[in-house]
Amino acid sequence: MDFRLIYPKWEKLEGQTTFNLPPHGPVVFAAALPDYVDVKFTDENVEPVNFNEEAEFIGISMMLSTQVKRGWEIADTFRRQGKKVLFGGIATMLHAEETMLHADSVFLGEAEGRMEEVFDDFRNSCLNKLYNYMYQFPDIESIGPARRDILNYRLYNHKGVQMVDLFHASRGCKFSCYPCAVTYLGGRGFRPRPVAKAIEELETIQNNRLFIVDNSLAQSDKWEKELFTAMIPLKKKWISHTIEDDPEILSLASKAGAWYVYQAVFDTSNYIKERIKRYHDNGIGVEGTILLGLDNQTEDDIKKLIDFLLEIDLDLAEFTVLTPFPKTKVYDDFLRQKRIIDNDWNNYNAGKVVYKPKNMTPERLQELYNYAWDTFYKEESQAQKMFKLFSRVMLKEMRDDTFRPRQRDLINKSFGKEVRRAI
Amino acid sequence: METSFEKIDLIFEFTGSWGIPSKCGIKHFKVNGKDCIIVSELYKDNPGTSITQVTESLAKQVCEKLKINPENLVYIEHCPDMNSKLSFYNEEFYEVKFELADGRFVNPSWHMLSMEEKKMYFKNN
Repeated sequence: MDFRLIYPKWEKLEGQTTFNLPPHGPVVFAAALPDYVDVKFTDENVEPVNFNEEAEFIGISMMLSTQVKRGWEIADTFRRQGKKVLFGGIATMLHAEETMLHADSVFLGEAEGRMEEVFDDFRNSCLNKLYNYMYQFPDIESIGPARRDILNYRLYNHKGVQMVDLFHASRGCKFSCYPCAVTYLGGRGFRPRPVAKAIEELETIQNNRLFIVDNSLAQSDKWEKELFTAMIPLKKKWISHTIEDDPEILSLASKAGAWYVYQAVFDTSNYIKERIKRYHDNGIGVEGTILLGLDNQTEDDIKKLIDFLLEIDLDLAEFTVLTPFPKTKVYDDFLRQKRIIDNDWNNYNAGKVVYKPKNMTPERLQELYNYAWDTFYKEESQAQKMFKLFSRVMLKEMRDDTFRPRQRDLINKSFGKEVRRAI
Repeated sequence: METSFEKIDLIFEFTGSWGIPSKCGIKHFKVNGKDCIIVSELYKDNPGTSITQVTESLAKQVCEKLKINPENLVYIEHCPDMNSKLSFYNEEFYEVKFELADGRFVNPSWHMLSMEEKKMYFKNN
């Protein structure tokens, strides 16, 4: 049975370097499909959707709020042709009620063990409008290797450099951070995959460079140590979110190939300064993630934070403005306080101010967001800083004999499009 | 989790978004002949949906369970103090006004209680 899985495009943030990474949700979903399903995949960020599609059943996988309107548009077009459209993914879960208006069927929850039912129903012409498996999590051991074979890797390549592959070693999160919807989506419990299962999947990934997308690896010391120890022989190089601030764990992470981490920088304390230093002491780079516009931040606080970032030797910084994504406490708070000023999901990209900040106007926060990017990258551009981090990983790879040169046949291509290289 | 609002009468189990089992704290008392319900968010002790995400449905579930006439309801959402240095975890109370349509609560609107309003509601409770 033919099934076309589509990942809708979204507008990238203005003025920032765009990298298209091979998406993770669709390949994890594809692994849960019954054997009789022949799945073909289109990532609209790197190739156009073919609306003269032969498949009768269309799947739309959405990760971001900025994808939902485009996803609905794609679905409407296919449904006018009489094709059936199934929606899934985390943004579908956050925007389920609205998505149901554009769907033949909406799947909520995690796909493993559930797709036999959905596809059998499709074959028997009795597709349900809703498959609700929220909080009915599959056995974490049942999560097998993702179906990365559905990806066209040549489209995730920039001038001969292959983008990192995405991988997950756990689901859920024991933390419930103010702006985050993860606990709504994946539950308030940490669900680590058995280390042997994670390693089994890592061994199937050809790419030596990875992004471990788990919300935070720092949720179980014992598991984290076991995972990193088992990863050492694989010689992968990887990016992740936070790693536990423990000397033994940081050392193991380094040996296991930690390239750089995304670390939240939320104040100008010595703790943050020392935290960054401890990563660096272990040869791990740091991209600071800085959230602007919290109610406890004044304009002066934001400026001081930016000055601080320049002092602490961050390798990269990523600034976002607080965004009230549905199903978060911040959404609840702003809804009650009547502070949401923009309900266009295309603007929920963490770069546009869609609410009234407490200590400044929305316009002023927008200016400060732009000021933060401009100031941090004034002396050295994002591309230059990224190149430094990239050089570091290449050196590591050369030392352990895992370095692969650029793909010469893609040297004039960027995400599938022709580019002219400055010589 | 200890909340700063001390007298929760009961832990109320409710059906959250998409049927997700959820919990909140409930306090029920009379003010000027009205049934006043304080619904407390339990944060990490609530395994499911927040009280605000399903406010209309939760108000209905509370009225049904406690046998309260919806016309006689004063409905207050309570976000307890989380003992955090971050202001968005401070204690707040919101009175929620609904319209009634065919026995359902619709079109909620929230109003943060001032100190005077809190005193009025809670002076004997």
